[in-house]
Amino acid sequence: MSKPVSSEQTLNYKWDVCLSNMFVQSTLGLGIGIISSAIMFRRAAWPVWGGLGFGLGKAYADCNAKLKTFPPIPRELSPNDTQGKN
Amino acid sequence: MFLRKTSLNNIPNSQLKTVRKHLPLVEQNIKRSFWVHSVQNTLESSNVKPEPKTPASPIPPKIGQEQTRSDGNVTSSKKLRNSFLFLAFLGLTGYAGGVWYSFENPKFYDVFAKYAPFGDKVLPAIEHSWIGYKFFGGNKILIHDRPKMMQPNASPGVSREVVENAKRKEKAIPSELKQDKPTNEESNVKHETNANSADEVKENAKYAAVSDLGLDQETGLSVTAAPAIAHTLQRAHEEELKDQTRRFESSLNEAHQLRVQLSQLQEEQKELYEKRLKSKMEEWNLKMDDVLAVRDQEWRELFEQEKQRLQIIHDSRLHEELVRATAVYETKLKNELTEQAIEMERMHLQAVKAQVEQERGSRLGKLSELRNAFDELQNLARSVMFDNGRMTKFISVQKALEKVEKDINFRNNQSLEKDLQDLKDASQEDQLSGLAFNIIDSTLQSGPVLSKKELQMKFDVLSREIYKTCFLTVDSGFLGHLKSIVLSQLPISLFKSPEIQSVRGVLNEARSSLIAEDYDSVVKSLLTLSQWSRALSKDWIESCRRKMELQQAINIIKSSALYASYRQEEGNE
Repeated sequence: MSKPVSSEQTLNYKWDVCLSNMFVQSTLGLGIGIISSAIMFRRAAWPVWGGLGFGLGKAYADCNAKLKTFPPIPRELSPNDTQGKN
Repeated sequence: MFLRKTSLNNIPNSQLKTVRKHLPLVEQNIKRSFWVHSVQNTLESSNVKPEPKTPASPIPPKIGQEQTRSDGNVTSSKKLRNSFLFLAFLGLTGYAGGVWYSFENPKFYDVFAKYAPFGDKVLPAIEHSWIGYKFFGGNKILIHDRPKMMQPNASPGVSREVVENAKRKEKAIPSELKQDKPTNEESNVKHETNANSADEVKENAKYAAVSDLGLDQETGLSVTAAPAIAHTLQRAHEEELKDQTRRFESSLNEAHQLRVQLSQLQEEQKELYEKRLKSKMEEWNLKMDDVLAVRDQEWRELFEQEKQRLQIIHDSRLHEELVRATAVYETKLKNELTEQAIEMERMHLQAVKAQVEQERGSRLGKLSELRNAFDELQNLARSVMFDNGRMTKFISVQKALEKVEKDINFRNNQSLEKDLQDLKDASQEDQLSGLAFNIIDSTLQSGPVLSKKELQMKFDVLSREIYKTCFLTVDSGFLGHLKSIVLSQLPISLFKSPEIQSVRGVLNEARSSLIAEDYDSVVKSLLTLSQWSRALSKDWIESCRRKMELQQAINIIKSSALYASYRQEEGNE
């Protein structure tokens, strides 16, 4: 199991996730583009770029959604918050 | 006819066609040329020697002579008829000659018009007809130098417009400009002009007899000059021009007069409108003054009403204040009076006691003093003994607490349990202490309790992360976060936004509170920030809270121990 992230590092963690996601998805998109270009489109260049673009776009959208959300913070902390934790 | 025959023989077919086409023109030309030739013949006949006259055969047979005919039968009726015809012919010839000569000689014109039967009617009729124009120079007959002399139904050589203009001009021209009215000498002048024109015609005809303008372009016939017609036309044209210039001059004068009148009218209208404008302005100024006066009056009334209302309110409040103040002063006075009375009574009692003491020789006083001193001494001794016992216990509790704090700060878990147990033993077993011990246990179990230094270090990291989120909005996405990270690297002095400056201020304030160990105010400051800041500072606030709770539990235990020692003292009493 991964180490729990402290709240100060939440944003940094999210950025790390975003960048890794971007890398993975762009690579996937590029791969799919290369394969489809080789098989279906007579080694044209545009499927490769298209796949890469799709991957980057998906990664951007995911990153955008991740960065827009964060856990709800209560306005004032409850007095016995620490008692239930182990 | 003579001309036609000679010309037709020489002209080709194409030209013949044009000739036939333009026969009326040809006829006109023939007529003209015929007239010119007739004039020419008359002129030539005067210059050229007359040809020897051939014995002319008498046209009519002489009266008395009987003409033998082939048949030889000459009756008297025939003779009579012949003679009548001869006389008629002579008479007609003579009459025609007279008519002709009257047009040649202006003097004879008058004589003929006067004495010849129907002369005064025939002559003007011929003059105005085409015969007069063609044979007797109609264009030169009717044109006069004075406009008045223009007659209606003039010869075709002069237009009707010229005549009408002359009539109009006659009316327009003032009498000064007019020449002398025609008198009975008008006919003489006319005959003179006619004579002059005839002379001119003759002269021109002489020249014309010599000059030839060439062939007509349409018909191919030779066109000879018509100087008389040209001259009259020219004169008519000149007269027309003169009339036009006079008309234009008159119209120009009229235009000048109109312009002067217009300018005068304009000035008058301008003055009128200026006067109207002034009157309107004065009227509106007066109205405006009235309206302003009314408005001022209304405002003054409103002001007075408001002033009165405020004055009433102020008076009522002042009255209330006065009443309250008087009540307060009265109570104060009363209290002072009572105090003074009590003081006076005490002094009186003391004085009485002193007197009594003096009277009893101060024995009772000494005894009571002794008794009081003894009581005080007893109490002192008792308290000293109790405090010693109490302080011993309190000190042991405090020592145990210090040990526990030390273990917590250094995270010495092994000795922590033992020290906690010692603390429990040292402290009083009451509800409050039990609660405090529970809090300590739960706090220690919930997570590590950080020291002050550790909290400060964590806070530094947290403040950096919080500053990065200064530039974020509620719905910032990828690009918004990227922008925030980039801008947070720049120096803060570049940003004048109050939000960013306030975040920085809050963080500095929190840091200073942290240094002063005022964790509560630090947490409160952090909770005033934005959502992202609160999310980031969650863990730090948790650790801060744990520390605070622990501290509070320790304080509770300490204070409960102290309270317990005080209670023990009271119980002993």
